[in-house]
Amino acid sequence: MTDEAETRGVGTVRSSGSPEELEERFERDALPLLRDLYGAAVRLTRDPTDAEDLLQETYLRAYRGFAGFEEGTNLRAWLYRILTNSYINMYRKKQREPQTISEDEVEEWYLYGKLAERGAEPSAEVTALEALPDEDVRAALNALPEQFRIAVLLADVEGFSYKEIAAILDVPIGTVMSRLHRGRRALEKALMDVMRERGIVQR
Amino acid sequence: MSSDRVQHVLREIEVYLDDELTEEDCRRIERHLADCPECFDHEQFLVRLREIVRRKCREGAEPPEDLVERIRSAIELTRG
Repeated sequence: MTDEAETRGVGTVRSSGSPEELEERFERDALPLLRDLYGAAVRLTRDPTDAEDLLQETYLRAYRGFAGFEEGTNLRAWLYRILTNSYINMYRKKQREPQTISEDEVEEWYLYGKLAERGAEPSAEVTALEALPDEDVRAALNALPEQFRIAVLLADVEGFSYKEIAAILDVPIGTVMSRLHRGRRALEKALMDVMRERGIVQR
Repeated sequence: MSSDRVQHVLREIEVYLDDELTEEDCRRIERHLADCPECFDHEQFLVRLREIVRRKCREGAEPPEDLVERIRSAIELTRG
């Protein structure tokens, strides 16, 4: 993928400016987002060493394409787009898991309903979730098929809007909504399974 | 409510929590939540669930202190 293609949809007007000005802007605007992007890179790759490689690749690409970024538009979303695309390119070959979630797997599946069937109070249900170790929640999210995992990460962990996610992933908003809905239901299902395994809720 | 209707409302609540409904649809959902204890409890649960997932997934991802310097150096190198 070219840098040109990466910047499509998230700030497309070529900005003017001398190489020195561009460099100054990159230092001032892009590098301070490193901390935020590092967290996202760790969550995407699930590995701190891979996260550093991914971040380095992301910043190199961003630097090369920075003249194509329009100042004043959404730099965070622009960088996440490069980050996500770089991740998909770097790690695509490693993927082995099934790539979809079937409709019947998620239709009408809500954790709340399953917990309520057990007659627990809503506050008890939240306490059950709080009792899960962080690693278990991460593992449940990480077990989702990649395209659903990425959509849920971008919305629920990184806090992007549908429109921003659509631009980051280069898919229509309807696709974002569908991946989020199915991904979230599958996540709820996975959380229920882990709570059963841990004995936090009885079978 | 019929099961299909419940599913439809729950889907709208999801979009409502994403802050992606129109002003008018937001008001409609809010009126429904005020009138329907079941949906209200479910909505409150979803709010807490999201907060828990977000917090537990975000914890402890601090970049090494020298990472920004290493990235600067890598950029320097490509400039030649």
